[in-house]
Amino acid sequence: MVADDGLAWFFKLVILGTALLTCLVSIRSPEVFDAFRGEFFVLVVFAALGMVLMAGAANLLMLYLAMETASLSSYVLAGFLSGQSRSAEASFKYVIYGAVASGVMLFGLSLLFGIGGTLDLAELPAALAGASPLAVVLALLFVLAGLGYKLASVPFHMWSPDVYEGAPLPVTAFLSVASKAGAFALTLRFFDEAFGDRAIALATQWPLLLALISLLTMTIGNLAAIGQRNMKRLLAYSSIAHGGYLLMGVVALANPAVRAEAMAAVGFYFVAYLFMNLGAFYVVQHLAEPERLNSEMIADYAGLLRRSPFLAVALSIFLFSLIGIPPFAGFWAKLYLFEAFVRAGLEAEGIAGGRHLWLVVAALLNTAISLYYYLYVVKTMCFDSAVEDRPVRAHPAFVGLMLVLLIPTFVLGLLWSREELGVPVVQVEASASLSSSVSPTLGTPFRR
Amino acid sequence: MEAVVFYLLAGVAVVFAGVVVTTRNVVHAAFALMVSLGAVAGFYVLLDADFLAVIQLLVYVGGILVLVLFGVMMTSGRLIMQLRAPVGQLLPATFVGLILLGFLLHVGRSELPNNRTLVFEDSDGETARRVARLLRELGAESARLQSETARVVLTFQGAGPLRPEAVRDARRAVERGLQAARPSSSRLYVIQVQEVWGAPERLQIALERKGTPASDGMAPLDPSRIAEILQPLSPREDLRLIAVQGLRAVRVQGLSEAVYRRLREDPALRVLTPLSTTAGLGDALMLGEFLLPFEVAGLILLVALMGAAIIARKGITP
Amino acid sequence: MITLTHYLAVSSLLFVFGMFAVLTRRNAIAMLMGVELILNAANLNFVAFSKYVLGGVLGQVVGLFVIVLAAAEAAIALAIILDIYQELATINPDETTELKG
Repeated sequence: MVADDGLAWFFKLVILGTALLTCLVSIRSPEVFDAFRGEFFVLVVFAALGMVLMAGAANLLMLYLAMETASLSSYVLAGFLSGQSRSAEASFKYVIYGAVASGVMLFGLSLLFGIGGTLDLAELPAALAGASPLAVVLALLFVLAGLGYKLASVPFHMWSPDVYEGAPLPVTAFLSVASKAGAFALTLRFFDEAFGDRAIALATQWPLLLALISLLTMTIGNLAAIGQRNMKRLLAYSSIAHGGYLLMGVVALANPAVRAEAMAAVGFYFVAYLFMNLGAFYVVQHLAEPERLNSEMIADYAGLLRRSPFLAVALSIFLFSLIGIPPFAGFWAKLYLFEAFVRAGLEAEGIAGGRHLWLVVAALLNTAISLYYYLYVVKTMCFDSAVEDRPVRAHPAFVGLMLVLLIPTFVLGLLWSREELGVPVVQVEASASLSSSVSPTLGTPFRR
Repeated sequence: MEAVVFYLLAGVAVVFAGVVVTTRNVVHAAFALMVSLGAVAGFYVLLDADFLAVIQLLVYVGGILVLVLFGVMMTSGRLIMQLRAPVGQLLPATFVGLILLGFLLHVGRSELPNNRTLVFEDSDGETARRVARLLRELGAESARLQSETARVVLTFQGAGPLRPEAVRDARRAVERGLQAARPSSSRLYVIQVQEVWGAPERLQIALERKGTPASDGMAPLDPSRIAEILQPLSPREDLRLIAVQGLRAVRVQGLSEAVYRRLREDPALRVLTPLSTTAGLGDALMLGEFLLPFEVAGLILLVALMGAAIIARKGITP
Repeated sequence: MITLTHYLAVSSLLFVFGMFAVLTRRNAIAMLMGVELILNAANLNFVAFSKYVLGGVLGQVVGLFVIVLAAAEAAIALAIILDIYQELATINPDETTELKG
């Protein structure tokens, strides 16, 4: 029903860490309505619980229930601001798209259940082996509608910029990291356990399908981010683009020899992403408070370097890391991910086995595109002249929080060498519910 | 008869679903949805899911649709609303819908496993021979015939009339025993407690395999092996396992529709009806492997309760 | 004689009608009705597969959970729809355009 292996463990830490930081920054956030402050934290905890269950779900029913727990809590969190039509609209779009996506996904799950005759992910490969590829692909497409919605991947990404912009900032930051981490853990497990079999991958061609989705997601995310004037919206599109890169890790699962490495790369990416993305969102949140800039627009960040050197430098570092400039964590995350993908591609036999090396070229080109809009923000902060010169002061507690996020962004990639990727999870053994049919190292998917 | 009812229900479900999609009046749409979902409840009865049919009527038709109607009333000044999209959107949607329908119907007709399975009671071994002969006569060589123990009934004897705790303990003991013999095996069985008519100090527990034996590589039920596993354990001091009986049956797989019908209608063959689905549902939810999902579902309802309250109240509170 | 195929045909029709409602309706509540049709189509699949392919109650267990979840989802969705109606006086997703890039 629920797996307790390294993959689940690792992503649970990411999700719970994000939830903890969300609670910390929400304690005094003026965006969280006072009358319901208690309920806010309860909902964050429920949403985190749903995501944690997503990370471990090894059963079709559990997978659906976990996604619904996370979704329902998130709908309410997105609409938490009182008297603001923006927030109401965010939760409105979230719930309408979400209800449709989860319904379609359930229909796909029902087909999978009929084809495979089981709800257990681990039992699916044996059951799917003799099934008609057309039926499996049809079921898979429906399931992908639900997964794609949670991953905010094209063509199910439309809700994401609106929801990210309209929701309270702590919630946006929470959703962009934790919700995505849960969804990726789920997707990794789903494809690894149920579709990891070589014959099924060949018959259904899901690696090619995911590679195309990955390409579209990163390209559309990056192109749409160009020209955004609202910082939250820019980060929303950047988050979509990062989802596109991360999907490469799922594509790499098609090669069983690299699957542990691919999972580890996605896991590490999320650790890096936690620090750099939450950091960027929290700086934006801090600047948006009334006593500081009272604005989320990039144009209002002009001359921030002189008005508040600390905040400007911190935001710049987070953005550099999001681009993937060494030595920041984002660079190493991308490096490991691309490396796993290239190895999966080189060692694969033929295009069906995952030889989609063109995707790496596309990802590198996309990184180049992303340089433009991230650096545009940095340029605005550092070189444009400010409208007013009143200094902007960061709250002392916020400076502390920033250090907590900044230091790992600097040192994570340097300290966490590739050979040690598995260290935090080596002790965790796979439960019996996880089949060890694919590789003997399954108990510690993060060790090489 | 079954066919008449099915086509009647199918007609109602599909026609009213069509009304839901095409009418311009939201209230009409809601009522049409009610009828359509009611017909789905009828399907559940045909599919041996009586309990689910009741829940469908009570919760879906009764609860959810009232909620939807409230939503309609509170958001529309006029009943007739602009429901339909312009033709520019209708056409692509129809196109997509038809393609999707074509794919689904094709998959449903020819790409999914549609081999029928029948299980007959076979206490004397005579049924197996009869079925084999019938299959030969009908030319159904591809059908697979398998003689097996379909159900094992354990009989417990107590000192006096049994109390509910004793029943629960006996059930737990059986589950634990099976679990200890082979991890993950307890979820392979449907376990159902039965009272023995006229003997309040006795208790029967029936075990049935979930799914087909071939699907998980487990051997079919073996009464002597189960007796061997469960004999040493005594759930309570006042409760003893006194008998383990196996119910022999013939499982016929890979039947075509015509052969299936022929065998089903044969007066000399007795189809083995599975253990009650309602009791099986309760078992799976409260005692079996679905306890965790059950709890999660409760949590989801709590989230819905809180969330709806927060969203409804946030406009009122200053 | 009614077979699995018959049930799958009905569920496919319900699903396609539901998708059609979701794609063409310009009223959030009508879209929600489409979602209910989709959920019922899936449920019918689960129960039919449970009887014809597996035997046992596995599909019915799933169906029970789906009904409960549909209730929870409908409650949240309707609360949110009422909220947006109070704010913007419309429940047409195309007309709520405060958020735009």
